[in-house]
Amino acid sequence: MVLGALTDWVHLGTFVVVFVVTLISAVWVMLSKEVARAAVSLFICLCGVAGIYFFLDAQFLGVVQIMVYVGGTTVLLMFGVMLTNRQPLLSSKKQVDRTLAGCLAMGMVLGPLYMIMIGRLPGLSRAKDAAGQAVDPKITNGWFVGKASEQASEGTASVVPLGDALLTSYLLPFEVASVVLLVALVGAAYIARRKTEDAEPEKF
Amino acid sequence: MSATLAAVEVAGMPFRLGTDAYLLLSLLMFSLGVGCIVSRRNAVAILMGVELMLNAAAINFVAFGAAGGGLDGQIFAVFIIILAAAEAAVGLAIILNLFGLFKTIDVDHPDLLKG
Repeated sequence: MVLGALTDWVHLGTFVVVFVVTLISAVWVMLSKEVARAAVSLFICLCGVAGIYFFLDAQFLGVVQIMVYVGGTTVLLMFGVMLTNRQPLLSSKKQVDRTLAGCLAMGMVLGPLYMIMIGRLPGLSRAKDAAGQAVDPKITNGWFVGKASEQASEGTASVVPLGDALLTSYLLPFEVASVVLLVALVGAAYIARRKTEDAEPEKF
Repeated sequence: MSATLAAVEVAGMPFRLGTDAYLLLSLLMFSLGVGCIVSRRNAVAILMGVELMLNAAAINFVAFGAAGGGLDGQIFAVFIIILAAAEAAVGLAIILNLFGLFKTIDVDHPDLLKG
């Protein structure tokens, strides 16, 4: 029992740490002046999202997140930063205005989304019966549901059904995604290729 | 710390995290992504904002999938990751081309069409 309570607290504490780290690094992606620092912040933020996936019993997805996002996309963005950062952006006097505009847009998105997803607006809240109980007991709403220590740990076996689903009911999207990846990579290589001298693009 | 514990227990809610905790994170990440897109002038930083928004959406999918049981949410998240990788590659290629043409990736600078 004591061990169970301890497990609960460790679970909650770890989640809070991951939550805060993810959020702070996301804030830095938005606010840091150097783009390279924003890229490193994005790196940390995506690692935090992988941690969130582990909390959600999606271990395979967490590993995919680390391999593809953290190992691939972030490195790609880092290459972009290094290839294009020849001179710093000029005229930072409008930067404050832009940050204010960004914060305004952020608030305009944040408010309605909070109302819809978490807030309890009448008509927009989740389906509940007259006694206030959720209609579908499987849907675990709210901030806290059940104890982590009493949660059935079946997540380690989730890779096999995921693979089955990808190759049976989701076979067509899977194949389409592979074609999309191929086309995107070939297209990217074509767009970004170094132009030869005789095929000079028109100058602006 | 103990006050939080007492509050949680008085409310009769033991504490495995529900969907709302994840929704709050994805909500904040999504709005930070929007703010990043609006406030940044560097095209690569704008791509980073798009990545934040895509990740927020993926967290939502996985959280709702975990709440309802089943693997659909995770599969959607896998497709989001795939498409985000493709998007980053193509977007970066376009940005490199832009840099080759204008010698800058300030998104205010390419104004040939004069809106």
